[in-house]
Amino acid sequence: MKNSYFPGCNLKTEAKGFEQSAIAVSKALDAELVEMPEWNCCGTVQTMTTDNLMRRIAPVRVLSRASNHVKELKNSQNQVITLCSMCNSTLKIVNAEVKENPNDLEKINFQLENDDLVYEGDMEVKHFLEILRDDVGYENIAKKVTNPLEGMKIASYYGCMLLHPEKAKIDDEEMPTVMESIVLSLGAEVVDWPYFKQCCGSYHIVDRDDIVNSQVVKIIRNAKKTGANALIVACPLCAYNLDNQQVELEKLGVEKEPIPIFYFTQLMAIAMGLPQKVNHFEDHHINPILLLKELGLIGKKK
Amino acid sequence: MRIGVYVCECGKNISATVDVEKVVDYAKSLPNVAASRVYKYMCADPGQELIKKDIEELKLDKVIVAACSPRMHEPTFRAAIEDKGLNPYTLEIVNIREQVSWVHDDKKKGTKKAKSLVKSSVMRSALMEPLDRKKVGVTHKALVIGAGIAGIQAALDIAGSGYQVTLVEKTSSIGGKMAQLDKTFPTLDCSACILSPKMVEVGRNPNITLIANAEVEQVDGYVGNFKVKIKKKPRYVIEERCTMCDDCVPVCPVIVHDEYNENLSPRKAIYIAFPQAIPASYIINPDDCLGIDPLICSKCKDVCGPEAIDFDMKPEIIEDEFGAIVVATGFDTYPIENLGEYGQGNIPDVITGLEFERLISPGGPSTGDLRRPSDGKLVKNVVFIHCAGSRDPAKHLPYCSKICCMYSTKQALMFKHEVRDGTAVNFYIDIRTGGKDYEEFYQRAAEEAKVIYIRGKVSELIQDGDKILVKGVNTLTAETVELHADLVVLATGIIPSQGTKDIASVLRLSLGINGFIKEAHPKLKPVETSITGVFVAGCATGPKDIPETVSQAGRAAVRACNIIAQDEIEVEATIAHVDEILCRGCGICVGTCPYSAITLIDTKRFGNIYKVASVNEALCKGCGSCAAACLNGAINQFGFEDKQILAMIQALGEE
Repeated sequence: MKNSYFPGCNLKTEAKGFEQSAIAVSKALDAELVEMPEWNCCGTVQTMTTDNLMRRIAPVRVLSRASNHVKELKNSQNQVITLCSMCNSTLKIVNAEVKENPNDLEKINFQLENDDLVYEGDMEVKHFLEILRDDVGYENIAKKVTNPLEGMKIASYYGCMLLHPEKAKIDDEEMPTVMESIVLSLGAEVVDWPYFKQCCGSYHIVDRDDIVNSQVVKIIRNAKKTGANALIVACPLCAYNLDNQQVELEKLGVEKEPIPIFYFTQLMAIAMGLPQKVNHFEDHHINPILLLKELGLIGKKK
Repeated sequence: MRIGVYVCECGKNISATVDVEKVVDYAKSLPNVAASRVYKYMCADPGQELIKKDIEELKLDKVIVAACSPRMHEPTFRAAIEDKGLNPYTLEIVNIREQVSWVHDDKKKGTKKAKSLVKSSVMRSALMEPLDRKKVGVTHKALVIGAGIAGIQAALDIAGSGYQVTLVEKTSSIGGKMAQLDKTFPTLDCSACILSPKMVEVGRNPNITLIANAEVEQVDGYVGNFKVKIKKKPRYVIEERCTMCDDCVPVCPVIVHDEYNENLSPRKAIYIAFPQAIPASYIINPDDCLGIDPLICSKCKDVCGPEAIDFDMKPEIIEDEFGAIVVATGFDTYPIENLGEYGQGNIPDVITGLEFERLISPGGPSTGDLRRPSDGKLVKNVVFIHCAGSRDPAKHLPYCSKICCMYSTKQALMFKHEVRDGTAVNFYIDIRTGGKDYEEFYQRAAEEAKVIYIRGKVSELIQDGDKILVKGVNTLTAETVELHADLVVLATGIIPSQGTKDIASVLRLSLGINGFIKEAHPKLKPVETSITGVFVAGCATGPKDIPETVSQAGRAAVRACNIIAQDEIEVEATIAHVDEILCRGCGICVGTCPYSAITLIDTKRFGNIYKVASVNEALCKGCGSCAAACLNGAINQFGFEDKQILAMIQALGEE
């Protein structure tokens, strides 16, 4: 089973480990992510809070190209898969909007004429977490686990974009379970904590890192307080803020003993015994290998 | 055949959209019409006189009134023509207000529609036949279902008028939610002090038969003659013998949650709900007891001096007849488990308003010291969150639960009286003080007792160490608010109780969009229901405070007495009837009838036995379902015969 996959900008730069581990995991689970050709920015750099249709051209172009890609893949479902939760949110919202307003879609399609593209409104946007939950199933994930993550106490961090707004949410916004269920099927321990959707500070990292720091401190302290020794995330921006700013906070003397931040797919790759190079741990600011070695999860003799 | 057509202007209600003069002229051209007139207010005395005069002078035998809905004035005009010797069922109402003028703007089209409707009614009127209303006897006894404050008050008022009333309560004691409250707004009277005299009176009044620990299982029959089956669950303690000595409780080995204290304290399997409970007798809950059949423990029986405990009690079905029924099945509160943003019930010190009542009550689990559930520490600061689950159409209840502003204010005030140096913060959307002395009560809390009010919602509650982090917004200053509280009280909204849903299905009562029982008219028939002879009081129809509930119970009692005081009452004549020759006994009508009024009976024809449908005239409500369902056209409804309806359709088709 092959799925059309939309990467988005971060997956090729900051979050190579997220993309490559996700692709490796998807192959192992027979839900392969195949990168769609000629993708562009999901559109999130333009705000979607106005009703200016210009700003929806980029996402609609992505959707129409994904639709063509699905036809090339054959036997693939009419869905495009994202890894970045910001891309997921943007594409989902725009997809829902143009399906509800055929007149808007017509106007946007007019702008796509130069590219010989027409979007028919026939696609669904899914986050990879949804594929794991709905198409693969937790039991099938558990079956592939060869290296159970014993000793890992994981706080699942959803951030804001996976659960809000209503049109884009992938799970119950108050009591999500998808990441926790994956953690359980990998043999790790789930930490129940209230800060799972506290904002990470988002784009304020560009000019107001004090705002981000104040958020990160709250999140990390609460995670530690509830006994977590690692965090998993599904968004490159959350990952960057939580990872890099912990190092900054340590330099500032605000918070010691940083805890590692993983993409959920990286832990899946480790639990499923996939080659470690897909994880690109060298890109992390807090070295995750230390914890994994301490718990004997990597470097063991087989 | 001489038909009179009377068109009402209803002030400007009708005449603004319908050219009434044209309708009158048009009616004159229709067959059999002997008179056609217009008047400003047909329902007023001069309007009725106009009709009466014509009946006399022009010898009319049918009357058509084109005015408002028949639900408004059909009885008025029926009485008027009956006065002059016409059969009331020869009246036809054409609704040109609700169905024409109020829903259309275009006067030309409105006039045209009114004309066609008048024409179709003239055609129908020609085929209408006089009908006889049947009279039935009345059982001079009422049934009240549910014994909270609404049911108690209704039963007392019916009994006070000298009639017998049976009061059925699901739980082991009467008193309902009011018995759980510590104090009441806006006077801060002790709830038990004002309720218990009424409860005692219920136990003492010879006109009241109280059946507690029982549920109404089945109701058949009709106004004046309801046949009711009540299932009384075994109490395992003989009420008359129990002396309330409490010897049985210490020996009982089973400890369970006490529902009266909102599960915040323990009780035994043998218990009394609360000290003032009526009936004043202990009870064994068979679900909690180690085992009754087969008997496992029996320690309570061994110590019971008066030999009040009887393990051989069995469920009992009580069958009785009543003339009228009052439903007072009350409310539940919106489940905290649905409120994900407030911890879904997983944060021990986030409690509901009812739990707060028990915690601060001297009769409650902490004997009046406000100690929080998690660690028993005394509480110094409390946050009250209004509208927890109310006024939130996107996620929770769309409606305002009406009493929460006042009960949160009351609780904040009680807290301030208890803990003088404590802090009470109320987060609200709007403060609604629509009751006598309510605004003054709110002012007193805010200004004298220094209860803090913040206009805005709380977005999230987070356990933070041994405190609760409250994150909200102040919408007056546009600032986010974060504060720590020892205890958070959610003013959870009011929803229909399980009992209300159950009894609505037993009685086949109509429910409104939010699941509360629907009144016959929201303003003028607030305690009447879709079923004649069944009345409703209290929170079963929607959120209400105590004064409103008590007044409603009084009206429901009066309306019940209106029926049971009579020796016989008339029932509707427009009921279904079967043409036995056409009926083939297929039974489709039997399944279609929502009132179980149709059965198949044997009939002898040409020496053979055939099955045919038979309508119980007393049970039939004249809904017409069977007439529509019958494949052979064998069932017709008096007053709505197929030939009459076909004549109307034909008239409309000719336009």
